[in-house]
Amino acid sequence: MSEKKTSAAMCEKPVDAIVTGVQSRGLWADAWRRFRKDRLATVGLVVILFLVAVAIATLIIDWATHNAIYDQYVIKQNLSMKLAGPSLEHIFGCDEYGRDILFRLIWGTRYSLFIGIVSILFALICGGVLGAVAGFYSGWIDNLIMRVMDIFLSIPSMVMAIAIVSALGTGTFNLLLSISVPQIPRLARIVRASVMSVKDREFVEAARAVGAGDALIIFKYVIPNCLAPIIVQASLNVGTAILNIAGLSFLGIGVEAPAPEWGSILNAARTYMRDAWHISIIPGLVIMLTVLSLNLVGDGLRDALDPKLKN
Amino acid sequence: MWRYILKRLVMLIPVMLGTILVVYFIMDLSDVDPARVILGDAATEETVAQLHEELGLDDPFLVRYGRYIWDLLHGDMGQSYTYHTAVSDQIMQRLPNTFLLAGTGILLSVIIGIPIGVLAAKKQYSLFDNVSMVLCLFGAASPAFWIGLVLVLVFSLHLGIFPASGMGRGFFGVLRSLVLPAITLSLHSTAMAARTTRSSMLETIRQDYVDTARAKGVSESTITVRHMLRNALIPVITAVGLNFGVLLGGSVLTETVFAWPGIGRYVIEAIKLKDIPSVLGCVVTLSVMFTVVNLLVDLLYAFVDPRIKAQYKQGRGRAK
Amino acid sequence: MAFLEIKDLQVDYATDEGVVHALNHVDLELHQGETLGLVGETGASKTTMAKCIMRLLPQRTGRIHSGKIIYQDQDLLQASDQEMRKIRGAHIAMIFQDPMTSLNPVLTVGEQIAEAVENHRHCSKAEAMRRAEEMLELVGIPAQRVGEYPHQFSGGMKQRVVIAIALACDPKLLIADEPTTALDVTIQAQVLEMMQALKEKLNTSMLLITHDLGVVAQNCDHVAVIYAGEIVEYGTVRDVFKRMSHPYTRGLFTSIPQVNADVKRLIPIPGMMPDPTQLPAGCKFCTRCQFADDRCRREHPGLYPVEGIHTARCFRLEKGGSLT
Repeated sequence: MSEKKTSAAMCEKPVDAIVTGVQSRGLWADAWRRFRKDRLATVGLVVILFLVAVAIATLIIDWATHNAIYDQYVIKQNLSMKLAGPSLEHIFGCDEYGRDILFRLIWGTRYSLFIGIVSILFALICGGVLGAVAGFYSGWIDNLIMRVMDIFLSIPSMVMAIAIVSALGTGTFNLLLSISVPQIPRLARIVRASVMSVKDREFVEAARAVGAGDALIIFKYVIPNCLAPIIVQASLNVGTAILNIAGLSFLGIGVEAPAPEWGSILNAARTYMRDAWHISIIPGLVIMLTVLSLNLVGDGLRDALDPKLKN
Repeated sequence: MWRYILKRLVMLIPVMLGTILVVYFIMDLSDVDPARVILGDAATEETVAQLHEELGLDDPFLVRYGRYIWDLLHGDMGQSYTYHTAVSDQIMQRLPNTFLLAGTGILLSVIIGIPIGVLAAKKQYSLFDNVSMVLCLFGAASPAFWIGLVLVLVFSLHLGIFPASGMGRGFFGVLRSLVLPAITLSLHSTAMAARTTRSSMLETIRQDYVDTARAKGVSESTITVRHMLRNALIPVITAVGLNFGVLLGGSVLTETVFAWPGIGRYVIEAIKLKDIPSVLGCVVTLSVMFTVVNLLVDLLYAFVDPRIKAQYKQGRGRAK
Repeated sequence: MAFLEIKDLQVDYATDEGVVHALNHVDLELHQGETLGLVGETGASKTTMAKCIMRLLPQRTGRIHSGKIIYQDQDLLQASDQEMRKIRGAHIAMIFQDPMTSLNPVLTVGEQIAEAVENHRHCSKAEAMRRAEEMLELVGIPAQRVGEYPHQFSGGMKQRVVIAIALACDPKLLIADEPTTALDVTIQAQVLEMMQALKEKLNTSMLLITHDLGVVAQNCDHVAVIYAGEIVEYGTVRDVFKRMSHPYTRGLFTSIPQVNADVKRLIPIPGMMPDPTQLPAGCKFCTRCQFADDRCRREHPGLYPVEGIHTARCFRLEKGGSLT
């Protein structure tokens, strides 16, 4: 039956279009056009790109000045300015050690953003391989992988993150791991589902017919054709990751002090809430806007890549 | 149906064993030496080694895991290093508080989120739809603990309506102290429930059977609830169920913000004091709770959708 | 005095691609106890017509421009929502195209039939259920299946349930929108026969929407042919079939196989229905008509009498001429 389907499809489309999976270029150009039309998503993307630029800029500044600015403005305590409210000099005020909150927020961008993105990339690679293998081979391998994933899924992600950090201790790498690992099964599921929906399509069969091996088929034909849902999910997961990073830092088990992670600025806010409301408001707003932008981009991507879902 | 439930309960056993195995494995990576913690820094190497022997800390991993499971079956989660009492006692003491908070949170998100989603879908593109969906976007993007801080700032410190932390006494005391943490905790899942309900409703609104119902002359409110919402519920239940996990994770943060005497706060204290058995006990408890909720959600599908019930009756799981 | 009268009905849809002119100045009459067939191909706005009578057009996009739908001295287009609810189901009932999707999957068929009864007769649940069982028997389904869900029924059975729902409150008018299109050929005849029998038994009038001239020939008294939102030919089934006067009606006829005629090949109607956002200025059919001349492209033809009540929208009939 599938043979028939293939030959019928061949009559309509040029052969190479079938082999490479028709969608490739047209889909992305189309999606980009639709994405651009979505004003909220475009704003979200601009915000994210801006934040990435800020994070990179601070890294360059630190490298060029040998951390001089970092030490002077972000880390150095100045107790005379302790909990100072917003002023012209410090527009967002100062924290409990008299450090300028704006500086700390700017220098904190890298933690949320880079740990968030890297942890999801890591989860994507692990989950992607597991999901692709499970979806492509099905049978007992699929069963084994997915049952293990189910077990991981039955541990709430924040709870698992807390367990990992408490076992391994705090630190950037452990934080990254603790954020990343709980996301693996979620991404594996998505990848598996989309691989399963793609693997029996005509162009995969056509590739197999000309003798392509499994690895080639997976990387060249299957993965490119199920990128859309994966990208959408990953972009939404970065938002979750940033919330979790902030949460762990807020609990004091995320990025180690005195690094200016956004959540850890809020940790101090709790103690000094009565005296300094500004510490609790602004970092939270920054986190919210970042995650909001990521979610907008994710939603925009979903609508752009799968116009059928939009209503 | 009962056979299916039984089957699911039996299947729950390997999942729980696996879950506990994963958690036990993670906690085992800790380089904290329990014997050292128990005996203090002053103890000699010799006494530490002796305690290792006594507690069987040098046994192979699977043996210790097996022993943990065996003890767990007898309601024993080990001894807390810091409280020097049974971990299970500590947890049982706090579990009802976490149940109360998480339960109220889920309840709030259902009774607020679903009606918002329904109304937004019914009045798609209206002012209400736009405003509520923007609020949901913000709600889903806000760190829950931050919302908690803001609520405390406004309602406790400035207005003085609700207590900023702790758990009150008596029914009304508890209720009053429950308001802010429950709102904080429910915020995220309320937003998710509203968004899922809306998009799921928009699917069902277009279905032919809705027109069939209209052609019968049924009133719009009956159509909304009986014909649209009932069919739109499955994705909503899934979302709320999945969000229960996020909510349990969030309870750790919320309980910390509001000094709520639940498991979440206990686990954070335990981490800081390197009280591994307590952390393990808490994580196991929270995971087991989530697993049970997942099962309940799966069973709930059957009550909403007769097609799923039919699948269950034939002993098949829900087609995912 | 007509039982249902549609006068100058004009309906638009506002879409992203532009305004779709779905119905253009449609006039139609339906008499007590008769069956009127509404024939046309996909996209001819047959369903729009049905939904318009039920006032079930999509609220956001559908717009009734002008016209009247008079049922029992009342203009349905002016009726309040409340009044409309009392008419729907009790006076006018509708059967939808696809039985697979027109039943609510989470309610038992009994509940779905009883809902209509309860709603209009204000009786108890038990009474409504009894009526539901009665209706099931009437459409040839054993009453004990009243507690089953739609997924437990086959397509043909589902359509029987849909018919039972529609007839549960003894409506005076039944609108059937392609009631058999989604069914197997073998089931089609059964369902149609049953509908015909029930219609006679309950003395219901019927508007039967279809693209199948065979269905019209067997079931209808009058027939209206609709093309691009316009009635192009109307008359008794006998007259129209005997003397097809609009080129489109002819095209419809010659494009279906005839068992008894010795035709070598079918003649399809060339081309496609015009884009409903940009209808031609003159005759809507001019783009596909073999007889079309300049006038057809320029001017819009009215309905010309053929014989008795039989009319057709073609200039060739202007002087009482005929098609051939």
